[in-house]
Amino acid sequence: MENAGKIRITFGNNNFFATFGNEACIKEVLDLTPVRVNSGCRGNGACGLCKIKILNDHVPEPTVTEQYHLTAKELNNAVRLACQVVPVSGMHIQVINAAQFFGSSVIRPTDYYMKKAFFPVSDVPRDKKHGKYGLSVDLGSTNISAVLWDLYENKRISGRRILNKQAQFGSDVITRIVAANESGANAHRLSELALETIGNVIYDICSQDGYNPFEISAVSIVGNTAELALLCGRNYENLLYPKNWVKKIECACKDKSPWTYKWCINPNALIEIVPPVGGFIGSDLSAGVLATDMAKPGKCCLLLDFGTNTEIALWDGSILWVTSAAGGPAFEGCGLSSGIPAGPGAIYKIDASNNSPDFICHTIFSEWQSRQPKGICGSGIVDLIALLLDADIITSKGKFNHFQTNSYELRTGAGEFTLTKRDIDLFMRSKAAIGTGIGFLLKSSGVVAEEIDHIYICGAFGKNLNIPNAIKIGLLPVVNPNIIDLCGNTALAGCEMLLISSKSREKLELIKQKTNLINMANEPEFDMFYRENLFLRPMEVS
Amino acid sequence: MNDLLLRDFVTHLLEGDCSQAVKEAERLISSGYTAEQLVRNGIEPAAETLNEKCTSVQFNLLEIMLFGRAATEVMKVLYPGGSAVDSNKGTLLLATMEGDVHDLGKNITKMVLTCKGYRIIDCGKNCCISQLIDMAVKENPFAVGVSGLISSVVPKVRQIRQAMDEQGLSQVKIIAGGGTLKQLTPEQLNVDFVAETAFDVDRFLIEILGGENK
Repeated sequence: MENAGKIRITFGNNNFFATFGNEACIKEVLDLTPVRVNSGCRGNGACGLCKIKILNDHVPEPTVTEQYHLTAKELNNAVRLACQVVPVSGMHIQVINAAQFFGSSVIRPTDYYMKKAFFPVSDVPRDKKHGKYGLSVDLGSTNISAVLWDLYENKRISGRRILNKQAQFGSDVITRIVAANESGANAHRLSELALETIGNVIYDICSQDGYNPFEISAVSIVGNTAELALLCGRNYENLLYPKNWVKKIECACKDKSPWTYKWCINPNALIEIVPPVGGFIGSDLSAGVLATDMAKPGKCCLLLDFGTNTEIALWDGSILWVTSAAGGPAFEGCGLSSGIPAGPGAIYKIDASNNSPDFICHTIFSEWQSRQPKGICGSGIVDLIALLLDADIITSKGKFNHFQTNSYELRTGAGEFTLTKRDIDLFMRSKAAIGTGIGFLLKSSGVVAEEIDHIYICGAFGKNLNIPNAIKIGLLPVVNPNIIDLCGNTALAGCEMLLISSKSREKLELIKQKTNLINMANEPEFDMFYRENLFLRPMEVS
Repeated sequence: MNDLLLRDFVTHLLEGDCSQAVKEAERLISSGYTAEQLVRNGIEPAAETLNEKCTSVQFNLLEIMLFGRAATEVMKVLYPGGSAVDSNKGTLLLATMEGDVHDLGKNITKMVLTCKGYRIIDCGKNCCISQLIDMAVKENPFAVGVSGLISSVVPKVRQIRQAMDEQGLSQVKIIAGGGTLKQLTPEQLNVDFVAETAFDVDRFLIEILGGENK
């Protein structure tokens, strides 16, 4: 990045720094921070809302646009428009007109757009009078992500990720389903919260970037089965019975007019909920399969969507084998002494150092938040465990080599973070659940690890994963690291394809017909597979 | 002291070294040890050592599973016809409750308690209350152990006490364990005891039996 530099931002009583690369204006820099500036025109200078004040001497001459929107007094007081000011290293700005805070963050295509994804051309006929925009939504338990498309221009125009408000009913889907099953009022509230969150995303995109929500004429929604069932307010109770865990769960809502009303989108908008595969395997997985284009004849591909419930798909050349593994939230940093989710302050990557016994830690977003790391996220734990194995500090059974030691202190400039034997045990269990899932899919399909042509790792955890370390500790099968792609949110990418292309829909139908759901609970060898996968060593699959 | 001669055997069990433990058991039998001696002075002390290590900071599932596998294989050698049942210790029912199929924890508990000489009746996974009660009426256990990983089983566990009382099984103790259940108190679950680990179950069972003997 030729243009890299740093600006200081003041917002209320808070001060922080943000780095910039090729961003053309301050608004674009702010869009990537938690404090965004208000805007109604996606930054083309038409609205005059994105006011900032320059607090040091880096005050540029006002542009014609600024002279039009701002008063002489404002211009003299170093007030400018964030969309007009080119960032200069050392600049100190104050955000005057901040955007309404939804806790959302902007999704850029590079955040999740995959290396090898192919995107179909928009071909779904639309009635022009109902509007030219389409919205793709990935309804996740933690985050809801959405991307707005211009269906005529065939391009992605905006995107946001926002926390799912259903979190007030608990963070895991089972707890939410149990709550919904307890009372109609709870079920109604859970559906409302999901609708509200999607409504907030739409409001945030349209008000910030200047699009008319009434022009949204199509919405496609993918998600895990529990979330889709809760959204529709029906059939969620089926998920409480193991006999339904390999069956189809119908997630449909006949009357969606309250939804269009709530979201302020076109009343005639076509809202489509992409049906889940079955049991706990949602349409987020099938969308991921579509987005990665993994179901190609003659190819063997594996897809892993990491989460509390990790979904795994194996394409053997003609059949798609899928399963879900309840590994628990260790990969999201939950339940570990120093674990935190991947986000600001999280140590996401740890390296060995040549000239010091201490490891080198890399922290997310250290520039604009406090520079202090707050904990270690899933990918950091993978690195740490691999390094401790290398250094013979722990064994492949997850025990400390020194007989009186039960924990390791990771020293950083900002204090120490502890990894206990118990943390390692928890991590091993999560890892084992996934290894067991991979093992059963390989066994069911008759594929051996060496035959795998490609592995796709999806989800936030996958983004920062160190592949050689993941192979070393047995989280991924032993393959050439070059065949592994870290793809980010493939569910959203697949949902976009379904929104814009009828060919993608046909393809999804074909994939569905070739899908075979494996319920590991029925496997008598489960405990044995699980035990062997607990070891911190390269995966052995026969 | 015969125990010293069993030291290698205990070490292999604790290391989870299945083939070495079996080999050593066979050698000891051929040199005159009885199966009961190997259980009393080998497997049980090994389980006890593991128990002491299984405090919450030190817990390691792999260690327990490897021990369990080694002990199970040794038991097969010692009792080719079936398991060693100590009639004094009595019968225990185990089940993973309706709504859940994650029964790894239940299986480990079964292994540990079998090594300890209890007679275990395994009611399997996704087990409904009526199945559990029917089995309890038939087998006359002194306690039932129920497990669950996911939160949806909690309401089912709460109903067990009343269902048992209605069948005149008020004297049968109820022990809960597993992912979700161990985060709750006995009062919240309406059970007699909530166990953190399989060894916790054993401790509680000893307490019940001890109480009865007095």
